[in-house]
Amino acid sequence: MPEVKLKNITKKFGGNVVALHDVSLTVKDKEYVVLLGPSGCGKTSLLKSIAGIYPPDSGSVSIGGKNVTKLPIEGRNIGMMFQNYALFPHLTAEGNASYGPLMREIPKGKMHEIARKMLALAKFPLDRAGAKPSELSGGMQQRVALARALASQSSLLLLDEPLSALDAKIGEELRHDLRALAKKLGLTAIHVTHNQEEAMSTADTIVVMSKGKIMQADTPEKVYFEPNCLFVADFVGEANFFEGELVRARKGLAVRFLGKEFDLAGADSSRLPKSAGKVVVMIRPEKMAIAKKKPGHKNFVEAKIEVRRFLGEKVRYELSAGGQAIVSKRLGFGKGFKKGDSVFVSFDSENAMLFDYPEEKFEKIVGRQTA
Amino acid sequence: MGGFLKARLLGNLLYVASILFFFLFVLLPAIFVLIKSGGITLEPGVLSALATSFEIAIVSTALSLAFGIPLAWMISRSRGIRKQILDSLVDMPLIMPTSALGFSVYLFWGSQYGLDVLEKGFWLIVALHTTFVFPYVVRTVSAAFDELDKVYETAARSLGANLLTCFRTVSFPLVKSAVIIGAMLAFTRSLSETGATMMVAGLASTAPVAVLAYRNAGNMQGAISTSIILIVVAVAFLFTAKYLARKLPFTVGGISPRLESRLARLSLLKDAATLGFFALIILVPAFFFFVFLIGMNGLPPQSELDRIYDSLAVSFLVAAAVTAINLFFGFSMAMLIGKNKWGLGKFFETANDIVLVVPTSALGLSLGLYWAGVKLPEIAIIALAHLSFTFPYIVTPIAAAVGQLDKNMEEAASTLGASPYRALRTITLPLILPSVLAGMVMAFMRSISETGATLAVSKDIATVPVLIVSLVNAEQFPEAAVACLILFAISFVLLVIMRRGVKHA
Repeated sequence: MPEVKLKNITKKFGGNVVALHDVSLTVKDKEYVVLLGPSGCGKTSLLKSIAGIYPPDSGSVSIGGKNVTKLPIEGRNIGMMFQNYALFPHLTAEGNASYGPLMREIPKGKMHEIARKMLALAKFPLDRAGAKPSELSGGMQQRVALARALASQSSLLLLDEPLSALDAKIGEELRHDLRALAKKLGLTAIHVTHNQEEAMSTADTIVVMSKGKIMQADTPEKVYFEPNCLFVADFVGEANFFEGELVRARKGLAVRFLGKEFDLAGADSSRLPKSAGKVVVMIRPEKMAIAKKKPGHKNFVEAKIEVRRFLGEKVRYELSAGGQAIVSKRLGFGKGFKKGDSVFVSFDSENAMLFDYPEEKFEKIVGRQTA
Repeated sequence: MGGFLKARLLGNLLYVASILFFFLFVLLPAIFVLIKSGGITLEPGVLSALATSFEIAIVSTALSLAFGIPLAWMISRSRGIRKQILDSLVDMPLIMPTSALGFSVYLFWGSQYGLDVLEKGFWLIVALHTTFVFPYVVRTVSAAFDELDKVYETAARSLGANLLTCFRTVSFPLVKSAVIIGAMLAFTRSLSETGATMMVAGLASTAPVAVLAYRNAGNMQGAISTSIILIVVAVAFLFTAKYLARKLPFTVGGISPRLESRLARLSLLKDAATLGFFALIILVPAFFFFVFLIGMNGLPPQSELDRIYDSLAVSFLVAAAVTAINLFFGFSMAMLIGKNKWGLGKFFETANDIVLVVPTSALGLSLGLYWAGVKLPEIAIIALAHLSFTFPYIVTPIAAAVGQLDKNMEEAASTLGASPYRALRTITLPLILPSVLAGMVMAFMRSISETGATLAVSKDIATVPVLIVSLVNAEQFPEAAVACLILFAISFVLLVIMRRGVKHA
């Protein structure tokens, strides 16, 4: 029953660089948690302070109700997968997998049995158990690394960017195996990644981090559809951000942007504390409809298609409306539009979210979208 | 187009010239004794000298491994000023010419000026050899620990390994080849040292000392036999070590991690023993001649100082000429090895390693035989001898640097229209400059400090290390101390220049 509790963890490097800033987090027993964020956000530092690799400057770590803050790595009973696997190059696949049991002085026969069982669980072909890591492909090495972590027989699995060194296709296959195995064995898993798709498809809970702080910890759906701040909205998935002016705050909420007044009565304004002034309206590209015909409601603008990009199952359009950029995505089949077409872009007010206008960084967010 | 072709032709001519130079002036002279010999005779003296040499090499290498590996680990895992200090201290005995070391070690262990606890003989030779082979082990192993990714250690510990078990099962096996190479360097170095050993040997005789003794007594058959065995053994060691470094299997089972976990708590004791050994057995004896210098009443007489200065002039002249000539041919040879030109890279790399491990007094004898028919001034003969054993010191670092260069860079320069020569001058040379400098300094230092080979070919002219040996044997300690100081000062300045140069480039 390893519930992991982090309380007020702060970690600084070289005096000034703050990697973790007063972070608190509870990971429930058997939960699959993904720490997601851009590089340098502190997600790996957080994982390493759970593992005992980076002792925190202040705060406490407890695993399964036991305070382990002062314990060295080898005393914490964890199973960990490292970014580039860190397979021991002088040992075979099986030698790697049996290293944990060896350290626990498990009898030889039993040790052998555990190693092979875990290799099999990780879908590693047992006829290659005698191969050295250098003789294995990236995907195979990853499976050995997983087996080695599982063979520690800890029910806490820590995964540090476990799929980042793999081809996209193999990575996708393995991420599902990771989650399935963690669920099957009833493990608590904490998985670090910067890949949002990987996070979305494996996590029970996504913890989005930025600059050493936790921004939001929620289900993948909530993180995507109900981001609690502009950073999360921007980092997870793609988004249109419009700078606007609040026209009416209460009944019949309305905002002026893209040169006209929009009716946002159905929009989520729970993140908006104020009742007047500048705001940011966020709408996901797949919620932006494009049509040749004028829609029957008020929430539309006229726009021109500037760029059309075919993405396989989807087509992504970049449009311009009065000098402002809008992004729209729609399924790739059926009749599309081409560059230069004049169209109407529209949205339902339930699909818009309102945020307070940030003090400094909004330009950066909008700039990224138009680039 | 004609210009490009001419440049390639010139390049190939240089390669051929360096190959010819290597055979005629480096390799053949070094192993000529193997060709010239009329068979081996095993006199009782030869066998006992060889046995003594092996015993000394085994003991001093074992001591160096036992204390050198923990020290290498300590250096590699320290940070900042602590690391810098330990690093520099380890290098110090390495830059002291062995004859100066021999004098200093003798003063400390065997004379009334120091502890006076060891007679000249076996154990004094062991004490001496340990001082100069210890840095080879520490250097090689700590470099390997430095390059080792710490993540393996972290991974082992995440699986429950305590520090000691982690070292035994993961860190140590991963630097195993460096340990073997370090041990091989230490062993062959001990096997071949002549000059300093002569000072502290007393009645004991090691094989290299026996080579010189036989030669001076006119027993050429004895000298040749001993030389051949020394060369064959050293080369056999080289190949065995290289083979083992690649092939030696490794198991992680056996010892109980729980027991090791208890032992790991004694790490403070281990650190104290390691540092204690390093300070008392290596550093203090190696630099004890400073204590003697401080206690001296004034300088030696002018006539003696003049002798030292004359020797200095000889040493410098030889070292400078040899470094310059070897740089010219060695550079081409290094390019040939580094770029594996005509598929000959591996061959010449191995051939250079052979020259490197051939014991210098055997090499000196061999060189003497090789150049015997040539009527040349003695100083030229000494220079010819030095050409041979300093050559690999220039070639090895440059070849390594060339081998690590990204091939794409020169190709990129060529696509931009650079001729091979200009690509070399503008791209390759600036990138490998630190290694060129390092090679030059090492060759120069090696020439300045070599005793055995010089003794084997010289009669009337003495280089500084040879002079030190004769001064110590004549018990002229003040003169020897001054000569040691000068030699050490030169080496030290050169080392500083090299480090600066490497840093800047």
